[in-house]
Amino acid sequence: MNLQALQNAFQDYVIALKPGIGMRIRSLPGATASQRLEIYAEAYRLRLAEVLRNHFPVLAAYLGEHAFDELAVRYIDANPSSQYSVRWFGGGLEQFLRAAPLGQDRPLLAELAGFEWRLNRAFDAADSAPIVRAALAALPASSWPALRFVFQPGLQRFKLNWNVVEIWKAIDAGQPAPAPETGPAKPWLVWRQDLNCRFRPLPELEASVLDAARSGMPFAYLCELVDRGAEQDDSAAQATAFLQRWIADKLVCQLGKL
Amino acid sequence: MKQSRPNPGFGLGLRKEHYESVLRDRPAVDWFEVLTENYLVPGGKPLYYLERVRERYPLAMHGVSLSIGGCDPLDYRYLRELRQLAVRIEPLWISDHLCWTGVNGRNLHDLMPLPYTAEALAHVVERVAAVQDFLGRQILLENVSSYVTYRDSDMPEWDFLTAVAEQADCRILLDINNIYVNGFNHGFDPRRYIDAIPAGRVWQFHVAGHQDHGTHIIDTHDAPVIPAVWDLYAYAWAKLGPVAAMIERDDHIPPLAELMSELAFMRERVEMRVAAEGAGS
Repeated sequence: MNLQALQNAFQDYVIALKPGIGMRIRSLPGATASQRLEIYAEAYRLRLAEVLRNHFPVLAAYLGEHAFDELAVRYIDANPSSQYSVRWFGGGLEQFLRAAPLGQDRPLLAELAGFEWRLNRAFDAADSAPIVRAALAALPASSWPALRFVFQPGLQRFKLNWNVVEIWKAIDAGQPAPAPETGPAKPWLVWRQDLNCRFRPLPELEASVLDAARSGMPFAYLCELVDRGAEQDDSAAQATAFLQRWIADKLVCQLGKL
Repeated sequence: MKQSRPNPGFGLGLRKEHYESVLRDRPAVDWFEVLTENYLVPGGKPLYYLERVRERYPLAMHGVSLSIGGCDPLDYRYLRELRQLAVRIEPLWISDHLCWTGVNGRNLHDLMPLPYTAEALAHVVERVAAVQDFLGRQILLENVSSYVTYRDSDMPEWDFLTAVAEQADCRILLDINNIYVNGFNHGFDPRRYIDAIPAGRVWQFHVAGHQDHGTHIIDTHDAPVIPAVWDLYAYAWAKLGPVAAMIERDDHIPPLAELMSELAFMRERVEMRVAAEGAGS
Protein backbone atom coordinates (compact mmCIF):
# COMPACT_ATOMS: atom_id res chain seq x y z
CA MET A 1 0.00 0.00 0.00
CA ASN A 2 1.52 3.36 -0.94
CA LEU A 3 1.76 6.25 1.51
CA GLN A 4 -1.28 8.11 0.18
CA ALA A 5 -3.48 5.00 0.28
CA LEU A 6 -2.27 4.14 3.77
CA GLN A 7 -3.08 7.64 5.08
CA ASN A 8 -6.51 7.60 3.41
CA ALA A 9 -7.31 4.23 4.94
CA PHE A 10 -6.08 5.18 8.41
CA GLN A 11 -8.02 8.45 8.35
CA ASP A 12 -11.17 6.64 7.17
CA TYR A 13 -10.78 4.38 10.15
CA VAL A 14 -10.29 7.20 12.67
CA ILE A 15 -13.13 9.38 11.35
CA ALA A 16 -15.63 6.79 10.16
CA LEU A 17 -14.37 3.51 11.70
CA LYS A 18 -13.92 1.89 8.26
CA PRO A 19 -11.78 -1.19 8.90
CA GLY A 20 -9.54 -1.23 5.78
CA ILE A 21 -6.37 -0.09 7.54
CA GLY A 22 -6.48 -3.14 9.85
CA MET A 23 -4.80 -5.27 7.18
CA ARG A 24 -1.73 -3.03 7.27
CA ILE A 25 -1.14 -3.24 11.03
CA ARG A 26 0.82 -5.96 12.81
CA SER A 27 -0.51 -7.61 15.92
CA LEU A 28 2.18 -7.63 18.59
CA PRO A 29 2.37 -9.24 22.02
CA GLY A 30 0.24 -7.28 24.46
CA ALA A 31 -2.40 -5.93 22.10
CA THR A 32 -3.94 -6.95 18.78
CA ALA A 33 -3.94 -4.73 15.70
CA SER A 34 -7.55 -3.71 16.27
CA GLN A 35 -6.91 -2.87 19.93
CA ARG A 36 -3.99 -0.69 18.88
CA LEU A 37 -6.05 1.04 16.22
CA GLU A 38 -8.82 1.73 18.71
CA ILE A 39 -6.39 3.87 20.70
CA TYR A 40 -6.35 6.33 17.77
CA ALA A 41 -10.11 6.31 17.17
CA GLU A 42 -10.82 6.81 20.86
CA ALA A 43 -8.14 9.48 21.32
CA TYR A 44 -9.52 11.41 18.33
CA ARG A 45 -12.99 11.68 19.87
CA LEU A 46 -11.73 12.30 23.41
CA ARG A 47 -9.39 15.04 22.26
CA LEU A 48 -11.95 16.92 20.18
CA ALA A 49 -14.59 16.51 22.90
CA GLU A 50 -12.12 18.12 25.29
CA VAL A 51 -11.63 20.98 22.83
CA LEU A 52 -15.40 21.50 22.75
CA ARG A 53 -15.61 21.34 26.55
CA ASN A 54 -12.95 24.04 26.78
CA HIS A 55 -14.73 26.27 24.27
CA PHE A 56 -18.24 25.69 25.67
CA PRO A 57 -17.66 25.24 29.41
CA VAL A 58 -21.03 26.63 30.46
CA LEU A 59 -22.99 24.63 27.89
CA ALA A 60 -21.10 21.54 29.10
CA ALA A 61 -21.97 22.25 32.72
CA TYR A 62 -25.58 23.08 31.86
CA LEU A 63 -26.11 19.87 29.90
CA GLY A 64 -24.15 17.67 32.30
CA GLU A 65 -21.19 15.48 31.44
CA HIS A 66 -23.06 12.59 29.84
CA ALA A 67 -25.34 14.64 27.60
CA PHE A 68 -22.51 16.95 26.57
CA ASP A 69 -20.25 14.03 25.66
CA GLU A 70 -23.03 12.53 23.53
CA LEU A 71 -23.55 15.85 21.79
CA ALA A 72 -19.78 16.25 21.31
CA VAL A 73 -19.36 12.82 19.69
CA ARG A 74 -22.31 13.43 17.35
CA TYR A 75 -20.84 16.80 16.37
CA ILE A 76 -17.34 15.36 15.92
CA ASP A 77 -18.64 12.53 13.71
CA ALA A 78 -20.70 14.94 11.59
CA ASN A 79 -18.01 17.66 11.31
CA PRO A 80 -14.49 16.37 10.71
CA SER A 81 -12.05 19.22 11.24
CA SER A 82 -10.65 20.95 8.20
CA GLN A 83 -8.70 23.69 10.02
CA TYR A 84 -5.10 23.33 11.09
CA SER A 85 -5.91 24.70 14.54
CA VAL A 86 -8.49 23.25 16.94
CA ARG A 87 -9.22 26.86 17.82
CA TRP A 88 -11.93 26.90 15.11
CA PHE A 89 -13.35 23.42 15.60
CA GLY A 90 -16.45 24.42 17.57
CA GLY A 91 -17.53 27.13 15.13
CA GLY A 92 -20.41 25.05 13.77
CA LEU A 93 -21.86 23.83 17.06
CA GLU A 94 -24.60 26.47 17.26
CA GLN A 95 -25.89 25.57 13.77
CA PHE A 96 -25.50 21.86 14.48
CA LEU A 97 -27.64 22.22 17.61
CA ARG A 98 -30.32 24.18 15.75
CA ALA A 99 -30.78 21.23 13.40
CA ALA A 100 -30.31 18.42 15.97
CA PRO A 101 -33.28 16.86 17.81
CA LEU A 102 -31.71 17.87 21.15
CA GLY A 103 -31.49 21.49 20.04
CA GLN A 104 -34.98 21.47 18.57
CA ASP A 105 -36.40 20.20 21.85
CA ARG A 106 -34.46 22.83 23.79
CA PRO A 107 -33.81 25.82 21.49
CA LEU A 108 -31.98 27.74 24.20
CA LEU A 109 -29.05 25.30 23.89
CA ALA A 110 -28.14 26.60 20.43
CA GLU A 111 -28.37 30.18 21.71
CA LEU A 112 -26.13 29.32 24.67
CA ALA A 113 -23.60 27.71 22.31
CA GLY A 114 -23.74 30.79 20.07
CA PHE A 115 -23.17 33.10 23.05
CA GLU A 116 -20.14 31.14 24.27
CA TRP A 117 -18.70 31.00 20.76
CA ARG A 118 -18.98 34.79 20.45
CA LEU A 119 -17.03 35.13 23.70
CA ASN A 120 -14.35 32.84 22.23
CA ARG A 121 -14.15 34.97 19.11
CA ALA A 122 -13.87 38.18 21.11
CA PHE A 123 -11.19 36.60 23.33
CA ASP A 124 -8.54 36.45 20.62
CA ALA A 125 -9.91 38.90 18.05
CA ALA A 126 -7.38 41.28 16.52
CA ASP A 127 -6.12 44.02 18.82
CA SER A 128 -7.08 47.63 18.10
CA ALA A 129 -6.27 50.96 19.72
CA PRO A 130 -9.49 52.52 21.03
CA ILE A 131 -10.37 56.16 20.42
CA VAL A 132 -10.29 58.17 23.62
CA ARG A 133 -12.85 60.76 24.60
CA ALA A 134 -10.36 63.61 24.26
CA ALA A 135 -9.92 62.82 20.56
CA LEU A 136 -13.62 63.36 20.06
CA ALA A 137 -13.66 66.52 22.15
CA ALA A 138 -10.84 67.97 20.05
CA LEU A 139 -12.92 67.84 16.85
CA PRO A 140 -14.45 71.11 15.60
CA ALA A 141 -18.27 71.14 15.73
CA SER A 142 -18.41 71.56 11.97
CA SER A 143 -16.84 68.14 11.37
CA TRP A 144 -19.38 66.18 13.45
CA PRO A 145 -22.17 65.65 10.89
CA ALA A 146 -19.81 63.90 8.46
CA LEU A 147 -18.08 61.82 11.13
CA ARG A 148 -17.96 58.03 10.64
CA PHE A 149 -16.79 55.33 13.04
CA VAL A 150 -14.79 52.14 12.78
CA PHE A 151 -15.39 49.56 15.48
CA GLN A 152 -13.09 47.00 17.10
CA PRO A 153 -12.80 43.55 15.45
CA GLY A 154 -14.05 41.74 18.56
CA LEU A 155 -17.47 43.45 18.53
CA GLN A 156 -20.44 41.18 17.79
CA ARG A 157 -24.10 42.16 17.66
CA PHE A 158 -26.76 39.47 17.91
CA LYS A 159 -30.19 38.71 19.32
CA LEU A 160 -31.29 36.26 21.99
CA ASN A 161 -34.76 34.85 22.50
CA TRP A 162 -33.88 33.05 25.72
CA ASN A 163 -32.39 34.07 29.07
CA VAL A 164 -29.10 32.40 28.16
CA VAL A 165 -26.94 35.20 29.55
CA GLU A 166 -28.57 34.84 32.97
CA ILE A 167 -28.00 31.09 32.75
CA TRP A 168 -24.39 31.66 31.64
CA LYS A 169 -23.72 34.10 34.50
CA ALA A 170 -25.20 31.78 37.13
CA ILE A 171 -23.22 28.73 36.00
CA ASP A 172 -20.05 30.76 35.56
CA ALA A 173 -20.41 31.91 39.17
CA GLY A 174 -21.02 28.34 40.36
CA GLN A 175 -24.72 28.99 41.12
CA PRO A 176 -27.75 26.94 40.04
CA ALA A 177 -29.03 27.96 36.62
CA PRO A 178 -32.37 29.84 36.54
CA ALA A 179 -35.33 28.22 34.74
CA PRO A 180 -35.40 28.79 30.97
CA GLU A 181 -37.45 31.79 29.93
CA THR A 182 -38.26 33.02 26.49
CA GLY A 183 -39.73 36.18 25.04
CA PRO A 184 -39.31 38.56 22.11
CA ALA A 185 -35.76 38.57 20.69
CA LYS A 186 -33.53 41.13 22.40
CA PRO A 187 -30.33 42.68 21.03
CA TRP A 188 -27.01 41.94 22.77
CA LEU A 189 -23.45 43.02 22.35
CA VAL A 190 -20.21 41.06 22.96
CA TRP A 191 -16.83 42.75 22.71
CA ARG A 192 -13.37 42.83 24.22
CA GLN A 193 -12.29 45.63 26.50
CA ASP A 194 -8.50 45.54 26.85
CA LEU A 195 -7.93 41.81 27.43
CA ASN A 196 -11.33 40.92 28.86
CA CYS A 197 -14.51 39.80 27.11
CA ARG A 198 -17.55 41.91 27.93
CA PHE A 199 -21.24 41.73 27.11
CA ARG A 200 -24.37 43.75 27.69
CA PRO A 201 -27.95 44.00 26.44
CA LEU A 202 -28.65 46.83 24.03
CA PRO A 203 -31.76 49.00 24.06
CA GLU A 204 -33.52 48.66 20.68
CA LEU A 205 -32.75 52.24 19.68
CA GLU A 206 -29.07 51.97 20.54
CA ALA A 207 -28.92 48.70 18.62
CA SER A 208 -30.24 50.20 15.41
CA VAL A 209 -28.03 53.30 15.75
CA LEU A 210 -25.00 51.06 16.37
CA ASP A 211 -25.86 48.94 13.32
CA ALA A 212 -26.03 52.09 11.19
CA ALA A 213 -22.74 53.37 12.59
CA ARG A 214 -21.05 50.02 11.91
CA SER A 215 -22.29 50.04 8.35
CA GLY A 216 -20.48 53.36 7.84
CA MET A 217 -23.32 55.86 8.20
CA PRO A 218 -22.20 59.34 9.37
CA PHE A 219 -23.12 60.98 12.65
CA ALA A 220 -25.77 63.21 11.03
CA TYR A 221 -27.62 60.07 9.91
CA LEU A 222 -27.34 58.54 13.39
CA CYS A 223 -29.04 61.68 14.76
CA GLU A 224 -31.84 61.25 12.22
CA LEU A 225 -32.32 57.66 13.34
CA VAL A 226 -32.57 58.77 16.95
CA ASP A 227 -35.02 61.47 15.94
CA ARG A 228 -37.27 58.89 14.30
CA GLY A 229 -37.02 56.40 17.15
CA ALA A 230 -36.91 58.46 20.33
CA GLU A 231 -39.47 60.49 22.13
CA GLN A 232 -37.04 63.06 23.42
CA ASP A 233 -36.41 66.30 21.59
CA ASP A 234 -32.67 66.47 21.51
CA SER A 235 -31.64 63.74 19.06
CA ALA A 236 -28.05 65.03 18.80
CA ALA A 237 -27.65 64.78 22.59
CA GLN A 238 -29.00 61.20 22.58
CA ALA A 239 -26.77 60.14 19.66
CA THR A 240 -23.79 61.75 21.43
CA ALA A 241 -24.66 59.82 24.59
CA PHE A 242 -24.60 56.56 22.65
CA LEU A 243 -21.27 57.49 21.14
CA GLN A 244 -19.79 58.38 24.51
CA ARG A 245 -20.85 55.02 25.88
CA TRP A 246 -19.24 53.25 22.91
CA ILE A 247 -16.04 55.17 23.49
CA ALA A 248 -16.08 54.43 27.23
CA ASP A 249 -16.53 50.73 26.36
CA LYS A 250 -13.56 51.04 23.95
CA LEU A 251 -15.66 49.92 21.01
CA VAL A 252 -14.57 52.64 18.58
CA CYS A 253 -11.07 52.37 17.15
CA GLN A 254 -11.09 54.87 14.30
CA LEU A 255 -12.80 58.11 13.28
CA GLY A 256 -13.29 58.97 9.63
CA LYS A 257 -14.98 61.58 7.49
CA LEU A 258 -17.22 61.59 4.46
CA MET B 1 20.96 29.26 7.26
CA LYS B 2 22.96 26.89 9.45
CA GLN B 3 23.82 27.84 12.98
CA SER B 4 25.83 26.00 15.61
CA ARG B 5 23.96 24.13 18.31
CA PRO B 6 22.85 26.50 21.06
CA ASN B 7 22.34 25.19 24.56
CA PRO B 8 20.00 27.49 26.43
CA GLY B 9 19.74 25.01 29.34
CA PHE B 10 16.66 23.65 31.07
CA GLY B 11 13.18 24.70 30.04
CA LEU B 12 9.49 24.21 30.61
CA GLY B 13 6.45 24.35 28.41
CA LEU B 14 4.68 27.70 28.76
CA ARG B 15 1.06 27.09 29.81
CA LYS B 16 -1.65 29.70 30.27
CA GLU B 17 -2.23 28.56 33.86
CA HIS B 18 1.26 29.87 34.66
CA TYR B 19 1.30 33.17 32.71
CA GLU B 20 0.79 35.35 35.77
CA SER B 21 3.25 33.56 38.03
CA VAL B 22 5.91 33.48 35.31
CA LEU B 23 5.65 37.25 34.89
CA ARG B 24 5.35 37.98 38.60
CA ASP B 25 7.85 35.52 40.09
CA ARG B 26 10.42 35.30 37.27
CA PRO B 27 11.09 31.59 38.00
CA ALA B 28 14.59 30.24 37.32
CA VAL B 29 13.65 28.58 34.05
CA ASP B 30 16.28 29.03 31.34
CA TRP B 31 13.78 29.09 28.46
CA PHE B 32 10.20 28.22 27.60
CA GLU B 33 8.74 26.17 24.80
CA VAL B 34 5.43 27.50 23.44
CA LEU B 35 2.77 25.59 21.51
CA THR B 36 2.84 27.48 18.24
CA GLU B 37 -0.81 27.08 17.29
CA ASN B 38 -1.97 28.71 20.55
CA TYR B 39 -0.44 31.96 19.30
CA LEU B 40 -1.51 31.86 15.66
CA VAL B 41 -4.53 33.96 16.57
CA PRO B 42 -5.35 37.56 15.65
CA GLY B 43 -4.81 39.12 19.11
CA GLY B 44 -5.93 39.22 22.73
CA LYS B 45 -4.52 37.52 25.81
CA PRO B 46 -2.43 34.77 24.19
CA LEU B 47 -0.25 37.18 22.22
CA TYR B 48 -0.21 39.73 25.04
CA TYR B 49 1.27 37.21 27.45
CA LEU B 50 3.55 35.70 24.83
CA GLU B 51 5.22 39.04 24.19
CA ARG B 52 5.65 39.78 27.86
CA VAL B 53 7.17 36.38 28.57
CA ARG B 54 9.42 36.83 25.54
CA GLU B 55 10.74 40.09 27.02
CA ARG B 56 12.06 38.00 29.92
CA TYR B 57 12.90 34.56 28.48
CA PRO B 58 14.12 32.89 25.30
CA LEU B 59 11.32 30.93 23.60
CA ALA B 60 11.23 27.93 21.28
CA MET B 61 8.23 27.40 18.99
CA HIS B 62 6.79 23.88 18.99
CA GLY B 63 4.04 23.13 16.46
CA VAL B 64 1.64 20.28 15.79
CA SER B 65 0.19 21.21 12.38
CA LEU B 66 3.04 20.95 9.88
CA SER B 67 2.03 17.40 8.81
CA ILE B 68 5.48 16.97 7.34
CA GLY B 69 4.69 13.37 6.36
CA GLY B 70 1.17 14.06 5.08
CA CYS B 71 0.22 13.52 1.44
CA ASP B 72 -1.73 16.78 1.10
CA PRO B 73 0.24 19.73 -0.28
CA LEU B 74 2.08 21.78 2.35
CA ASP B 75 -0.22 24.38 3.91
CA TYR B 76 1.43 27.66 2.99
CA ARG B 77 -1.19 29.70 4.80
CA TYR B 78 -0.07 27.96 7.99
CA LEU B 79 3.59 28.39 7.08
CA ARG B 80 3.13 32.11 6.44
CA GLU B 81 1.53 32.53 9.86
CA LEU B 82 4.33 30.50 11.40
CA ARG B 83 6.92 32.72 9.75
CA GLN B 84 5.15 35.89 10.92
CA LEU B 85 5.08 34.64 14.50
CA ALA B 86 8.78 33.76 14.26
CA VAL B 87 9.54 37.32 13.13
CA ARG B 88 7.57 38.61 16.11
CA ILE B 89 9.22 36.51 18.84
CA GLU B 90 12.58 35.50 17.35
CA PRO B 91 12.48 31.95 18.68
CA LEU B 92 15.50 29.84 19.56
CA TRP B 93 14.19 27.41 16.93
CA ILE B 94 11.01 26.05 15.36
CA SER B 95 10.06 22.41 15.85
CA ASP B 96 7.26 20.07 14.83
CA HIS B 97 6.75 16.31 14.63
CA LEU B 98 7.83 13.54 12.28
CA CYS B 99 4.30 12.44 11.51
CA TRP B 100 1.20 13.23 9.46
CA THR B 101 -1.95 14.88 10.81
CA GLY B 102 -4.57 14.37 8.09
CA VAL B 103 -5.24 14.09 4.35
CA ASN B 104 -7.85 15.28 1.85
CA GLY B 105 -8.23 18.58 3.67
CA ARG B 106 -9.07 16.91 6.99
CA ASN B 107 -7.19 17.32 10.23
CA LEU B 108 -7.21 14.59 12.85
CA HIS B 109 -5.41 16.86 15.33
CA ASP B 110 -3.22 13.92 16.24
CA LEU B 111 0.38 12.96 15.54
CA MET B 112 -0.18 10.00 13.24
CA PRO B 113 2.74 7.61 12.73
CA LEU B 114 4.45 7.17 9.38
CA PRO B 115 5.49 3.83 7.89
CA TYR B 116 9.27 3.55 7.90
CA THR B 117 9.74 3.05 4.16
CA ALA B 118 11.93 4.50 1.42
CA GLU B 119 8.81 6.12 -0.09
CA ALA B 120 7.90 7.90 3.16
CA LEU B 121 11.52 8.92 3.67
CA ALA B 122 11.80 10.53 0.22
CA HIS B 123 8.44 12.26 0.70
CA VAL B 124 9.42 13.75 4.07
CA VAL B 125 12.89 14.79 2.92
CA GLU B 126 11.46 16.71 -0.01
CA ARG B 127 8.93 18.50 2.19
CA VAL B 128 11.45 19.39 4.90
CA ALA B 129 13.58 21.04 2.24
CA ALA B 130 10.59 23.10 1.04
CA VAL B 131 9.69 24.14 4.60
CA GLN B 132 13.26 25.09 5.48
CA ASP B 133 13.54 27.13 2.28
CA PHE B 134 10.31 28.93 3.05
CA LEU B 135 11.18 29.64 6.69
CA GLY B 136 14.80 30.46 5.91
CA ARG B 137 15.99 28.29 8.78
CA GLN B 138 16.50 24.67 9.76
CA ILE B 139 13.69 23.06 11.69
CA LEU B 140 13.69 20.40 14.41
CA LEU B 141 11.59 17.27 13.97
CA GLU B 142 10.45 15.25 16.95
CA ASN B 143 10.00 11.48 17.16
CA VAL B 144 6.38 10.68 18.10
CA SER B 145 4.78 8.00 20.24
CA SER B 146 3.02 5.30 18.29
CA TYR B 147 0.70 2.45 19.07
CA VAL B 148 0.69 0.62 15.74
CA THR B 149 3.39 -1.13 13.71
CA TYR B 150 2.82 -1.03 9.96
CA ARG B 151 3.42 -4.17 7.93
CA ASP B 152 4.91 -1.85 5.27
CA SER B 153 7.76 -0.60 7.49
CA ASP B 154 11.09 -2.02 6.43
CA MET B 155 13.51 -0.17 8.71
CA PRO B 156 13.58 0.60 12.45
CA GLU B 157 12.25 3.94 13.63
CA TRP B 158 15.70 5.19 14.64
CA ASP B 159 17.08 4.56 11.15
CA PHE B 160 14.13 6.42 9.63
CA LEU B 161 14.56 9.43 11.96
CA THR B 162 18.31 9.53 11.34
CA ALA B 163 17.90 9.28 7.57
CA VAL B 164 15.34 12.11 7.55
CA ALA B 165 17.67 14.36 9.56
CA GLU B 166 20.75 13.53 7.48
CA GLN B 167 19.13 13.66 4.05
CA ALA B 168 16.91 16.71 4.71
CA ASP B 169 19.63 18.42 6.75
CA CYS B 170 17.29 19.22 9.62
CA ARG B 171 17.66 18.90 13.40
CA ILE B 172 16.16 16.42 15.83
CA LEU B 173 14.04 17.09 18.88
CA LEU B 174 14.50 13.80 20.70
CA ASP B 175 11.60 12.94 22.97
CA ILE B 176 13.00 10.56 25.57
CA ASN B 177 9.58 9.58 26.85
CA ASN B 178 8.39 8.71 23.34
CA ILE B 179 11.39 6.43 22.87
CA TYR B 180 10.54 4.72 26.15
CA VAL B 181 6.84 4.43 25.19
CA ASN B 182 7.63 3.05 21.73
CA GLY B 183 10.23 0.66 23.13
CA PHE B 184 7.50 -0.79 25.34
CA ASN B 185 4.75 -0.73 22.69
CA HIS B 186 6.87 -2.18 19.88
CA GLY B 187 9.29 -4.29 21.86
CA PHE B 188 12.73 -2.74 21.40
CA ASP B 189 15.49 -1.59 23.74
CA PRO B 190 15.26 2.23 24.07
CA ARG B 191 19.04 2.46 24.53
CA ARG B 192 19.56 0.90 21.14
CA TYR B 193 17.45 3.72 19.67
CA ILE B 194 19.53 6.40 21.41
CA ASP B 195 22.79 4.73 20.37
CA ALA B 196 21.77 5.03 16.71
CA ILE B 197 21.02 8.78 16.75
CA PRO B 198 23.78 11.09 15.42
CA ALA B 199 24.70 13.42 18.30
CA GLY B 200 25.27 16.55 16.25
CA ARG B 201 21.71 16.49 14.91
CA VAL B 202 19.99 16.60 18.31
CA TRP B 203 19.19 20.12 19.45
CA GLN B 204 16.56 19.45 22.08
CA PHE B 205 15.29 16.78 24.48
CA HIS B 206 11.73 16.38 25.70
CA VAL B 207 10.87 14.41 28.79
CA ALA B 208 7.31 13.84 29.96
CA GLY B 209 4.99 11.56 31.88
CA HIS B 210 2.69 8.93 30.44
CA GLN B 211 0.01 6.40 31.35
CA ASP B 212 0.87 2.72 31.64
CA HIS B 213 -2.09 0.52 30.67
CA GLY B 214 -0.25 -2.74 31.28
CA THR B 215 -0.43 -4.00 27.71
CA HIS B 216 0.57 -0.67 26.21
CA ILE B 217 1.68 2.81 27.26
CA ILE B 218 -0.03 6.01 26.14
CA ASP B 219 1.94 9.22 25.85
CA THR B 220 -0.36 11.58 27.74
CA HIS B 221 1.93 14.32 29.13
CA ASP B 222 -0.32 14.45 32.17
CA ALA B 223 1.83 13.04 34.95
CA PRO B 224 5.29 13.32 36.53
CA VAL B 225 8.21 11.71 34.70
CA ILE B 226 8.83 8.12 35.87
CA PRO B 227 12.26 6.93 37.12
CA ALA B 228 12.90 4.72 34.07
CA VAL B 229 12.46 7.75 31.77
CA TRP B 230 14.84 9.78 33.96
CA ASP B 231 17.39 6.97 33.64
CA LEU B 232 16.98 6.99 29.88
CA TYR B 233 17.32 10.77 29.85
CA ALA B 234 20.62 10.54 31.76
CA TYR B 235 21.76 7.90 29.27
CA ALA B 236 20.80 10.11 26.32
CA TRP B 237 22.54 13.11 27.84
CA ALA B 238 25.76 11.12 28.23
CA LYS B 239 25.56 9.94 24.61
CA LEU B 240 24.23 13.05 22.91
CA GLY B 241 24.62 16.01 25.29
CA PRO B 242 24.94 18.75 26.15
CA VAL B 243 21.48 19.41 24.70
CA ALA B 244 18.73 21.86 25.70
CA ALA B 245 16.10 19.91 27.63
CA MET B 246 12.58 20.60 28.82
CA ILE B 247 9.67 18.95 30.61
CA GLU B 248 6.36 18.72 28.77
CA ARG B 249 3.12 18.81 30.72
CA ASP B 250 -0.04 19.33 28.70
CA ASP B 251 -2.78 18.05 30.97
CA HIS B 252 -3.48 18.00 34.72
CA ILE B 253 -1.27 21.07 34.86
CA PRO B 254 0.12 21.40 38.41
CA PRO B 255 1.17 24.66 40.08
CA LEU B 256 4.38 26.09 38.62
CA ALA B 257 6.27 25.30 41.85
CA GLU B 258 5.68 21.58 41.31
CA LEU B 259 7.09 21.72 37.78
CA MET B 260 10.01 23.77 39.09
CA SER B 261 10.95 20.95 41.46
CA GLU B 262 10.74 18.47 38.59
CA LEU B 263 12.98 20.80 36.59
CA ALA B 264 15.44 21.01 39.50
CA PHE B 265 15.49 17.22 39.57
CA MET B 266 16.28 17.21 35.86
CA ARG B 267 19.22 19.56 36.37
CA GLU B 268 20.48 17.40 39.24
CA ARG B 269 20.36 14.28 37.08
CA VAL B 270 22.64 15.97 34.60
CA GLU B 271 24.96 17.42 37.22
CA MET B 272 25.24 14.02 38.96
CA ARG B 273 26.08 12.41 35.66
CA VAL B 274 28.72 15.04 34.85
CA ALA B 275 30.20 14.75 38.37
CA ALA B 276 30.26 10.95 38.15
CA GLU B 277 32.06 11.11 34.84
CA GLY B 278 34.54 13.63 36.27
CA ALA B 279 35.20 11.34 39.29
CA GLY B 280 35.67 8.36 37.01
CA SER B 281 38.19 9.99 34.67
